[in-house]
Amino acid sequence: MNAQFKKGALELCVLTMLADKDRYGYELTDEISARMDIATGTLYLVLKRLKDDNLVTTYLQESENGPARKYYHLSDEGRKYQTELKEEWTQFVKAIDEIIGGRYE
Amino acid sequence: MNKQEYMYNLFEALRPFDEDVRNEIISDYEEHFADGLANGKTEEQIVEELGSIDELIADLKELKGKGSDKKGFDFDSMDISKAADSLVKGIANFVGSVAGTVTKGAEKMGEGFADGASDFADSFSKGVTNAAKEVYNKGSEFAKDLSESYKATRNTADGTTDATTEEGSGSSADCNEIVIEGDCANIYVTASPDNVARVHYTNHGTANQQLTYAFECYQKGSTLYGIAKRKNLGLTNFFRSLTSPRIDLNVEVPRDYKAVTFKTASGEIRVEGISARTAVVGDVSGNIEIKTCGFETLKANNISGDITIDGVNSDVITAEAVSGSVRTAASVAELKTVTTSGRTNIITRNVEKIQSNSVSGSIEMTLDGADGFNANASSVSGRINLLCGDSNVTGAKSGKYNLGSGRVQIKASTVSGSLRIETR
Repeated sequence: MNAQFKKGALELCVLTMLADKDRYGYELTDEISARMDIATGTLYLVLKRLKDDNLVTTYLQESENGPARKYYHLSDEGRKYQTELKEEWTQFVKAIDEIIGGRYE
Repeated sequence: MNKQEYMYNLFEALRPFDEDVRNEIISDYEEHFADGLANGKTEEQIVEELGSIDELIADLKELKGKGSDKKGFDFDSMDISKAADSLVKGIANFVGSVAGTVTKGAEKMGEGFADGASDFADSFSKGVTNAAKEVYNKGSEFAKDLSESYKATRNTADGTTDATTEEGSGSSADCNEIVIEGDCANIYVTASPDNVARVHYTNHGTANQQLTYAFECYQKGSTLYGIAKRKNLGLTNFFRSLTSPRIDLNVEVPRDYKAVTFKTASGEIRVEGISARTAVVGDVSGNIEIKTCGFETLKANNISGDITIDGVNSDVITAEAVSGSVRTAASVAELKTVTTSGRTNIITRNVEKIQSNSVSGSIEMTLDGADGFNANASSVSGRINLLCGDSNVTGAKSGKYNLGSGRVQIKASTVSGSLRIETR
C-alpha cells in the first residue's frame, strides 16, 4: 500500500477510535492490526506523530498487567481534525467507488 | 526471535536518536509486550506483529526529518583526535566488510578452505587495522594501543586444532580514569591488587561469532579505554540473526581513581570493592550489581534490568531504571531514584536527602539510625505508610509530614504504587 495513503488512513482509524473514549496503546494497535495487515510498530509511530502534533494527549494510569499504561486522549484540535479527515475520506472513497463501481466496465 | 533479542535490536537501532525519543518508543514497546503476554500471546507472536525494526527506523527518520544526521561527519565541531578516531573506524569497518565477504564466500566452498580464508581475512584485517591505528596515533599524540589479541587453541584427540575462546587484554599503570564499553559483554570489575589497571576480553562464541566482535584497548591521555563491540561487517542480517555470544570483560581498577565508566547493553555488570571519585554504570537489559564500593558520586542507569547497590559509601547516588527494580543499601548523603514500573527499595545510613519517584512501582525506605524525617509524600492510588518510632501515620493522604526530629528531607512520589517510609 502507498505509504502516505496508508498513514492517512491509519491516523483516521486511531483518531476515530479515540472519539468515544480514551484508550491505551495495545487496545488501539491490536484492534487495527487484527483487521489489516500492518506492522503494529508503525501504529506506535502514528500515535507518536499525533501526540507531537498535539492532536492527542497522553497520561499514565496503572494497569493489572505490570507497567503503567499510557492512555491516549483526543484533544479538541484532534476532534476537529478527525471530523475534517473523515469527511475528506468519505468523499474520496465515494469518488473511487463511482469510478471502479462498474460504470466503465 | 524472543522479546529480549528484539528489544536489544530495537535499542541498538534507536541509538542515533534523541534519548527522549528512544525512551518513549522502548517504553511503548515494553507496555505492548506486557499487554500482549497478558492476552495470551507468545513473545514470538508479538515480535512478529510488531514488525521489522528496519521499517520502523525508516518511518521514524521520515517522522523526525533529519533523524540519524547525528552520526554523520561534522568537521566544524570535530577535533583532530576525533577525526582520527573516525578514520580508524571507517577503515576498520571497510576492512571488516572485505574480510567478512571473503570469509563468507569461502565458507560456501568448503570448510577446509574457509579456515584458511578466515585466517587470511583475520590477518589482513589486523594488518590494515594496525596501519589505520598508526594514523590514529599520529592524530592523537598520546594514544597508545594496548590491545593484545591471541586465540587460545585446544588440541583435540585426533590432532586437529579447534579454536575455543578468543581473548585480548590491555593494561596501564599511569591512568586515573577508565572507560569500559561492552555492547553485549558482561562486565566484571574488581580492585587491582597492584595499582595497575587491566582489561581482559574473553569471547566464548563460535569462530564465526568471534569474527563479528572486536576488542580494543588503548590509552588516551590518562584514560584507559576497553571497548568490545560488534563489527560492522556489511553483511546486513547474516550475522545479526545469530544469537550473541557470551563475552566477558574482566576489569581491574586501582584505588581512588578519578572516574570510572562501565557500560553495556545486554550483559550484566558487577562492580565490587573499588573506590573512585565518580562512577557511571549503565546497562539496558542486564542486571547491575554494585557491592562494597566507595565513591563521591555514583550514577547507575538501566532500562529493563535491575539495579542493586549494596554496602556502598557515596556522597551522592542516582539510580534510574525503567522497568527494572532499584535496591540500594548504602551510606549516602544525597540519594535520588527513579523507576517507571520497577519497585524501589532503599536502606540508608547517614542520609540527608532522598528523592524517589516511580509511576507504578512501590517505594520502600528504611532509614537506619535516623530519628525522624520531613517527608513530602504522594501517591495517587497507592497506600502511604510512614513509621517513625511511636508516631506512625498509616493510610495517609498525599502531603507533607514531619515525624520525629525531621532532619532527613524526603520527597517521594508514585502514581499507583504504595509508599512506605520507616526509621530503624
